[in-house]
Amino acid sequence: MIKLYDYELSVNCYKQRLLMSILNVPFESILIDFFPGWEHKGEAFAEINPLGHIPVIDDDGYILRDAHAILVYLAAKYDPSGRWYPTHDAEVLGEVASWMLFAEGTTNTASGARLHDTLGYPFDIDAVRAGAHRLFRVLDEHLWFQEQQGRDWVAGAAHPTIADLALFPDVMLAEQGGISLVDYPALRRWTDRFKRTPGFTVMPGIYPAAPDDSRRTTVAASGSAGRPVSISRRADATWNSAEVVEGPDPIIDEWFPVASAADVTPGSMHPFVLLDERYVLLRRNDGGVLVTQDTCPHRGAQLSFGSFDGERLQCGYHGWQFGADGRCFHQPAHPDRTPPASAGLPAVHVREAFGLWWVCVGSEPRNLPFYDAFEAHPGLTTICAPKRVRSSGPRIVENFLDMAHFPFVHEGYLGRVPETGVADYDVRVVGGELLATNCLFFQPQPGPSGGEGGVVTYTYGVSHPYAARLVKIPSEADGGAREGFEILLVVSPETEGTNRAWMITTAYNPEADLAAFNAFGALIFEQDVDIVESQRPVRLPLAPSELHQRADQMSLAYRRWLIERGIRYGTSSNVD
Amino acid sequence: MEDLTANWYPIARSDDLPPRHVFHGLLLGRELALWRADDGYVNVWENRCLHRGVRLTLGHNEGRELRCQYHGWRYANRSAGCTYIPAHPADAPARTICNVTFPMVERYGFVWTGEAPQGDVPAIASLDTGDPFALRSVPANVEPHVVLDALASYHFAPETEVPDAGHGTAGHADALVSLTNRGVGWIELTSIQLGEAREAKSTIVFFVQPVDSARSVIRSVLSRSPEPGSELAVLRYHSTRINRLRDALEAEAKKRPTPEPMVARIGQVSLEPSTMPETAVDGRVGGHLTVVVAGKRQVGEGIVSFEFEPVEGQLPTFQPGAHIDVHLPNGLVRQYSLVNGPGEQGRYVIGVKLEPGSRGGSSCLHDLVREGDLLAISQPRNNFPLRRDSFRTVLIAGGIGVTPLLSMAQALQVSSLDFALHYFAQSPDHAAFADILEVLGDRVTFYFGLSPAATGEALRTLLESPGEGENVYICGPGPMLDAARATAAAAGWPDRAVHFEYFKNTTQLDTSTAFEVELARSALTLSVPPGSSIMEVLRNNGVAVPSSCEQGACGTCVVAVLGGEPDHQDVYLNESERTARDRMTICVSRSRTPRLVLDI
Repeated sequence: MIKLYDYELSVNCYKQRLLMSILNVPFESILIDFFPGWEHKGEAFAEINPLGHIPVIDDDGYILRDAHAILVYLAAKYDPSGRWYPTHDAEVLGEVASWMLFAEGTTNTASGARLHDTLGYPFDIDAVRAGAHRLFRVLDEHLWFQEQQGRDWVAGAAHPTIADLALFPDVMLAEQGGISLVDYPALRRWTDRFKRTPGFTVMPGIYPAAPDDSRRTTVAASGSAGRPVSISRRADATWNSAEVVEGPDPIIDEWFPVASAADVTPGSMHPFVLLDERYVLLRRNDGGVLVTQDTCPHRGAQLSFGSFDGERLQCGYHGWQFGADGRCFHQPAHPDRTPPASAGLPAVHVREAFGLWWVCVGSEPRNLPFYDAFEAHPGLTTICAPKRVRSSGPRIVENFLDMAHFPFVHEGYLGRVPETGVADYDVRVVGGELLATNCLFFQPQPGPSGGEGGVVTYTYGVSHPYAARLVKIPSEADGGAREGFEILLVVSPETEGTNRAWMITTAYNPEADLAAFNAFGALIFEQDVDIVESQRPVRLPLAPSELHQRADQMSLAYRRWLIERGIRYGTSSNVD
Repeated sequence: MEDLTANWYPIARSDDLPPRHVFHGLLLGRELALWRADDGYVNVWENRCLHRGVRLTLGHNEGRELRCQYHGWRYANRSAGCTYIPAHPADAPARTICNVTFPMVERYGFVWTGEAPQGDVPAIASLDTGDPFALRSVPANVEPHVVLDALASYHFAPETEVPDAGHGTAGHADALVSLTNRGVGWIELTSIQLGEAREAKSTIVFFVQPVDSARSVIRSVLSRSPEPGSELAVLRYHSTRINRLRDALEAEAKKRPTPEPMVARIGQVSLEPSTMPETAVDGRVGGHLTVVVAGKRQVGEGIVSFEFEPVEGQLPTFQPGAHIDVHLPNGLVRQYSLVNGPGEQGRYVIGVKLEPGSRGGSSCLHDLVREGDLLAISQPRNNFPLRRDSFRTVLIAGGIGVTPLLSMAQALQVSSLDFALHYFAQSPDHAAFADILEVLGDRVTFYFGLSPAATGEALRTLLESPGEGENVYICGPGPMLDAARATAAAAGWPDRAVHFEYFKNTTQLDTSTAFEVELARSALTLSVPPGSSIMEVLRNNGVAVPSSCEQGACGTCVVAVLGGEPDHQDVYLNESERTARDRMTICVSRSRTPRLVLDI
């Protein structure tokens, strides 16, 4: 059987899974810990692919790398119809090759933007986005003219080819890289058509299309398209209005995670953005930690562009040197003078907890979010690398507290149609924590280990405006309490609309495969991202502007909880 | 400054909206979701689910309804009303849940809309008299007014002169182009080219869709179609030239400061952030609608169907299982189930059987009401809601009782959910709505001319094994209903899985109690003696209250209870609604407490 060195969230690996699913070729997926493990860059994987990237296939000893090359091989070998890689038709084959090369471009630009935004790859984001738009314009125009000629696909064939397949995921996931498809209607229609290919399968962030059975007989449909109707309702709320700010937002007194404890080694420097300000975390050789604004008090240059040797920090602009306590002790332009105390770097609060370093930029730090699972199950906690989400923190938290979307967004994992009903549950405040208990939901696959499926019992808790925890007990069929686990989601706001979401998972079973929990959490999270990023307004509306269903009891309690605490950052309370 | 919201703009080409697709549109900074339903109607909605603000363009166009990708809320074609909330499958969504819609006209090959457009779509003589041929639309990251000004100097050759378009000569350099007409957001140019033997002439109209303060879509249309075979060459010719113009304008625009983006105002709903919706009771009083009888036809032996179309505006959203009150010319009010499939919002269809002992209801409809007549009907109400979370749904119809089940069957079929319809009728001629039954195909099993004993036997067979997660819906004549209920109970079906609809309340009413009703809003306290209903007492004291069946079956007279404990004697409210004690039917229900406070 074909072995595919695979990663669930990789666009190029998905292309292989998609083609093999369509061609009905069985394969074995060998999961590589791509992120955050970088296993594909390790020595062991270098023997398989010295370039250190995936996918790679091993077809009974024949090893091939490069996503688009593998598509050529698989289609040529396993598609007896010859339609996906039409070697019998020179003109179409030429077009396929041409659009495959084009797809290298969309991978480098559109998918590059996605890697930048979701995994923090250091690309010039403006350049890759502009490059993707240039290519999408060309592709949209090409597909529009294909449509005019009655053609559905990029090459002039009556059937999709591997060129369509190679382009499709780059286009579909472009929005995750901040590339809107609104200007490319022909491109959007083509993605709908491609999704209807028999054997089509999804990856997180790609949803199936509505079945096109429009040609099925409909009963006596009487229509008068084109008749103007006059039931438009005037909109009268602002899209996402600026708030009138009175006094500091209490959000500044909350703790937010900024780095994983494992990464913060002695002598290391970690720049980050929190609440619209840039900061840097410095770990001294003696183990102490300093967090300060990442801005030199002299001319505002970014300090982390300079150097840090574990003892002293030197600004890269005029060479001012600061001790690990933040005091400026040397200004090279005036070597004989002692810098004044005002030239020092003010420190902000920092502490370590649950395997993360947390920062509070306010003067009166509140409590960390409640998460007793970390101590109750020592050594069974794992941290999923943070994901950047272009939405507000409260929108992300509210999504985490919601069960009713499971059958639609996490179909096959956390729910399935038609088992969509949400029974009433209990919401109350216990010791300052907002708790939803007795939350029951049918789940086909509640956790990484799979299983039978059954009714899962959830408890949700909120004790921090940008965090929420859940306790999940699978059905007896899936192992019951022994296979239970808890997750703490904490959202660290860079700006109101850009957040890094951290997920801390603690398993109950001492033999649990913690890496599998991380992978499962990342997959579920990825399925949510497009939805949450599409929510408007971006800030969570605390004033009436959305409708609710009974299943929203917890999300409404959370909104009230935010109102009571006066949280304005990431929320909107305008009513006019 | 000009009020852009008062204008009509083209927002898509008509062929941008194929079936089962949701088009993502932008106008004046507002995102729109456009979708063409299977009946051809183009819906233009705000691109935002009312529930959690998710883009509807991520959702599914299911042909009759649009389904949001986040929580699966469904919105109906035309009315944009919410028809189903999957998290609460047993409840009918409140009728007030309705998406924000925008007016729509299809003309000149485009779909037109506007925020609050005044008047009509621009009338352009050259397009009205010609054979308009829409060109490729080109988005441009340039201010709309700049684009419109630049288009005035667009240079082009008449389509017969376009290279590769038949006998074209490509000599557009000597074509003379002049601005021949202009209006708000559009210009018309005419190109004349003198050849050796003839004069070629062509007219193009440009519309600029203002996407945002610095973004536009250039939409263009020729006043007549090119000669057959040369369409593609003409499309390419203009596409290339408009692209070139766009590139030049974008290069210039980059040198200017970008204007502030437009801020679209989003729709508001009047709900407190903390309000929790109650289990929906879709029986609130609504105004009457006037409809025209657009069709009347025989659909089975003794059965006539009526199609009602709105005189103006849209018909309200209905859900499978819903019924309407029909106000008859003879003053009677009768309830009839809607036969419509999901999203068929263009007209309501009912089926009426001529009852032998008719007291003037069915005979009036059969004999007196004709096509073209105007009738008053109520808003649709649903006391027979369809759950869509069943693994399998069994529908059992007796005679004319098939009508609500036909609506349900079509909804289940469209959603690809498993169901079977068992239809008991006197004879094949008595089976109504053959057209719908044909579409349902092998999901329908017929039972013709069975004796009561044979009917009982058939019911026993098809109800013999209750399955987990299955639901039964039964509608038919009283004796069959009772038999089916008894059979289901004996076979072990739980009560909650067996659903009936009553058009009559056969409960023995107890009117022996006496109590007081306080009308909170009217500041009036009245006493209700034994033998009188609350409704009668109210009417005798000049308080007008709407009613329909007056036997506790239809829900027209439901009012909110603010104090006291109602003595429910109706068959309209379900068990959870009864235990909530916050509403009651005042035609038959009474009070368990000496005093009852009503929100009237």
